Amino acid sequence: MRVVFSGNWKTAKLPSVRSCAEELEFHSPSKSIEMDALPEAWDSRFVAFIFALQKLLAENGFLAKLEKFPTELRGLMGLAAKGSDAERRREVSQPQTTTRHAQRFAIGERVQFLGSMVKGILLFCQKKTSVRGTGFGRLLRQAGFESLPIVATVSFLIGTILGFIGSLQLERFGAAIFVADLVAIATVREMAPLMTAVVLAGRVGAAFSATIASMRTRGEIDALSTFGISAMDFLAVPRVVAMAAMTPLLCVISVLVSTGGGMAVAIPMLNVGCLQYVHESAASVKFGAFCFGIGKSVIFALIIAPIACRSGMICERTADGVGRATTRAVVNAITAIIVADALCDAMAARLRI
Amino acid sequence: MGNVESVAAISVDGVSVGHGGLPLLSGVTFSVAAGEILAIVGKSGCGKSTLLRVLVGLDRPMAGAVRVCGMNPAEMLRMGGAMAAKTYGVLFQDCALWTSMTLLENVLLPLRNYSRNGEEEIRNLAKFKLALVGLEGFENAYPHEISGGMAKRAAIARAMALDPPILIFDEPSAGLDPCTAKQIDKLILQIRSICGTAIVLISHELGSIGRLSDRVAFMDVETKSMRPIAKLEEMMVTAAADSALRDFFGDRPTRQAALEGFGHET
Ligand SMILES: Nc1ncnc2c1ncn2[C@@H]1O[C@H](COP(=O)(O)OP(=O)(O)OP(=O)(O)O)[C@@H](O)[C@H]1O
Ligand SMILES: [Mg+2]
Repeated sequence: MRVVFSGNWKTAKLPSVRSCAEELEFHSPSKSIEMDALPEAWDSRFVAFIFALQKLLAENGFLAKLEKFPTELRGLMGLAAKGSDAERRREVSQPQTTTRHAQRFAIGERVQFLGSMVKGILLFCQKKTSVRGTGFGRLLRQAGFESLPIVATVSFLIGTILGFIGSLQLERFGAAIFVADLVAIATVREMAPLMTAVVLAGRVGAAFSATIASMRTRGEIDALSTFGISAMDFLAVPRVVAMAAMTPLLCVISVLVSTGGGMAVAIPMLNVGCLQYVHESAASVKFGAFCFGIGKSVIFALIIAPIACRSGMICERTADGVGRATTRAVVNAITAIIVADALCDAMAARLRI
Repeated sequence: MGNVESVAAISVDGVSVGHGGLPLLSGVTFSVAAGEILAIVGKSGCGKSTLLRVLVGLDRPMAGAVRVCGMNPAEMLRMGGAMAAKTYGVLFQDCALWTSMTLLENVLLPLRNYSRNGEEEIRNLAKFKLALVGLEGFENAYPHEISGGMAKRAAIARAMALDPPILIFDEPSAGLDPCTAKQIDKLILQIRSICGTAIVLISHELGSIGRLSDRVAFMDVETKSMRPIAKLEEMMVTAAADSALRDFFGDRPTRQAALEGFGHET
């Protein structure tokens, strides 16, 4: 059978390759179809169409003969057909995802990660670590100083909210001054560590994860390993230590700013004196409660940073992978913080702290 | 060089490499002696860079054994890698410079970690290495601020930072103009003759393979295997009878012209 392509193939709407092939197969008496092209105008769309058509026909055992096609067109087709890589590509890319999946959920791998992290942290703190040039100062700044404005803002607002609710309720019982106690105890024990951790998870945890993930994607971590610099010691450990060092400081600042926030609402609303408020606040917070709050903030930091770093270190090597790693870091960290908070509170209740 | 090494710098024995359980190359066997330059050539996508990852221990071979200075590179990395860093330097095809550090810091980082010399001395050393690859004045540039060819050269400087006895380069002259490429070729020859470095060179540039390599290993996509190692001239001669080689090195006149053009300068 002989088919002739004519007309303007540059502007025409192309028919579907599949229906075209089906029609040809239906009408063709033999397995060989001779094709002839006399198009007025054509571009690569036409070549792509013929390429796909020929391939589809070949899959069903039909041979499309293109001898009569213009030479330029056959040249292009020839180049495209030479790409023997396609076959190997198909072979290569199958069994990957399962191994990656298995790897990500292996418990052994997590334990190993934790083990080498603890070891790395101990060495780092004793200044015995073998890696140098980690930019630790910059990390301290990133985790601490640069996070200060957002932590302060959030804390102040939380303080005002607590102060406002407390004032409305306690005023009815004529116990206005106890707003100071309420705000102080609530922030020291709960709100300051929790809000600091949530803000840091979103701000610093996400940054840690994205940095490490994009380094992995670009092969920078491979380059580190060939220089015998482990990603754990060079990237993860300094970040964890920096965060564990800065979070308690931020937490203390958060407590102070929250108290200020509470005071800013309570003083005009309730007619209590400034000094009286401060005195009442200070008296209400026991040393144990203070330590409990600070201790929690350290625990939270030790949850956020390793989760963020690990999420970056296991990310898939694509731009999407980096995005997913960052999301995973923040979501997992915040969930883990809240669970840990509940556990800590339950324990504190038992121990009557 | 004089001293005959009892262990080959690199020895690769019956190695298969691939991704996801399917081999791209199998039965790869070669060894590189100190002071020797081995060129690895083959079509794009035949698995050269995959083989490089195995050579430097980032991936394990699917079969066979790799020894670098008598040691298993994957084990060297697993044991902490200080040994690996002092044994070989790697130039990755995509450079893999550390993007959040300046070029100087890129070269300095290995030195900071392994050199016992003072800060000033290693800084001077790092600046000198950058000057060797023609990047004087770009010490404080970040990798995103330089061109592709400059990144390649910076990565070469980083690979040479610790003066390792083995260098593994993935396409050092890709993306460079002929003039700069020649300079890099000269640098490679000089490193070899000064330090007796063993060099594995993955390259597509026939000219620079001819100028640099002592022997050539050709990886064939079709049979997923390695042709016997030979000098480039010998390989050009065998090419007449071997279609894969002929495809790669070109037909007879091209080969002839290429051969004459090299003019070995050692
Ligand atoms: N991470 C990977 N996962 C799966 N397959 C891969 C991966 N990396 C490379 N491949 C496949 O392995 C084959 C060899 O890739 P490789 O990078 O080793 O080629 P190459 O010889 O270095 O080519 P070039 O000269 O173009 O750099 C390619 O066909 C590619 O599809
Ligand atoms: Mg490659």
